[in-house]
Amino acid sequence: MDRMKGAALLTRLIEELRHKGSWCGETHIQKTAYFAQHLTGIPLGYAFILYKHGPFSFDLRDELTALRADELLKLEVQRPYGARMLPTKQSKYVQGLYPRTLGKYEGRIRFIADTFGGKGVVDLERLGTAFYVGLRRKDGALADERARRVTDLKPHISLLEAREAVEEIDRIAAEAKASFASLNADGASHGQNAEPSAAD
Amino acid sequence: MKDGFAANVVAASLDGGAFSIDLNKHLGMTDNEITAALWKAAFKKDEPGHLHARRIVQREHFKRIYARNPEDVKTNPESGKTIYDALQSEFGEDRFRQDHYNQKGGSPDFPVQMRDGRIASSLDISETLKNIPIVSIDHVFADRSCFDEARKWLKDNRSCIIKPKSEGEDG
Repeated sequence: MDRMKGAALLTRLIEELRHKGSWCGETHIQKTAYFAQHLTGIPLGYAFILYKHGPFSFDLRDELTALRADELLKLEVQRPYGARMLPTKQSKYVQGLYPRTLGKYEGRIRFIADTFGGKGVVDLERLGTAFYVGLRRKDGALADERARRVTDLKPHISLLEAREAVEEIDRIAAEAKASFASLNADGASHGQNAEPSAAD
Repeated sequence: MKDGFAANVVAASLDGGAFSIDLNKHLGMTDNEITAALWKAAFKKDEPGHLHARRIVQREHFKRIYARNPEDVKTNPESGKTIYDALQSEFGEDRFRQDHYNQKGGSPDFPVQMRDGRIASSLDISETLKNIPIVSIDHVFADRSCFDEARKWLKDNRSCIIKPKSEGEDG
């Protein structure tokens, strides 16, 4: 995808997340971009690995910095919680250049913001890791098996928490699949970029 | 820009365009060999890398024709690339180079333990860290043979070139 189209989608996602009450620190953006890309098929085109706190993309981190350099995003520091991302007025101008692309994915962006905007980083880590595990178990692994895998990868997540996360992400994936007909049967994005190997 | 030309000369003068993986051959390749190859290539038209070597040795390096400008970035965050593409299209592909770099990594946001034991964000504590500018470089260089003409053309057409097309306009 053209970089500026991607910037329009990403800044629109951040805007909508903030509207739904998300703190929008980098971690929130990393996890929700992962869901946007792999759960609802928005073709942002970032390569994600499983990192310390769930799915993470170094490409996306670089792009967030580049968007700050281009004055499409700015950092807002709020004592005592640290930095959050804020789309600038300039980002509206860039979004205005791509009405068709934004129109096409607006429903998916809203779905992501509605579903994950109110969640904190701890929940997003669990859900992101559960979804990451699920994407690699396309043979329909049972929820218990996936929950055990989540705890193998992230030992600080208890089995009960992992089980709840797997069940919740299954519900969300089913809802996404029902809402967006073009998604594959496994709930993943339609082949826009292959899942990278886990860095666990 | 000289680095780019030098890399081309080195690549052209090496077998297969790459340094040997044979240890002795690799260690035998010093600045002296490269400099000798550079001078040889600069004055012999049929030597690999002649054009690039000539540009270095005879100081015919490209001249900067465009540098990232905040006003242009407001109109088009990809103004450097847009101008580079337009110049290539107008005057020829081989006559321009773009040097583009955006800072990698995230913001310098990390937890700091204060003297009273509480934790605060580094960005909350330090005005300096909060205001470190992000490195973003975007230069376009032109061959001297067309520099004046290209500069005039760019001056006349820049605002039109960088104006981005919206999806409604490009069909």
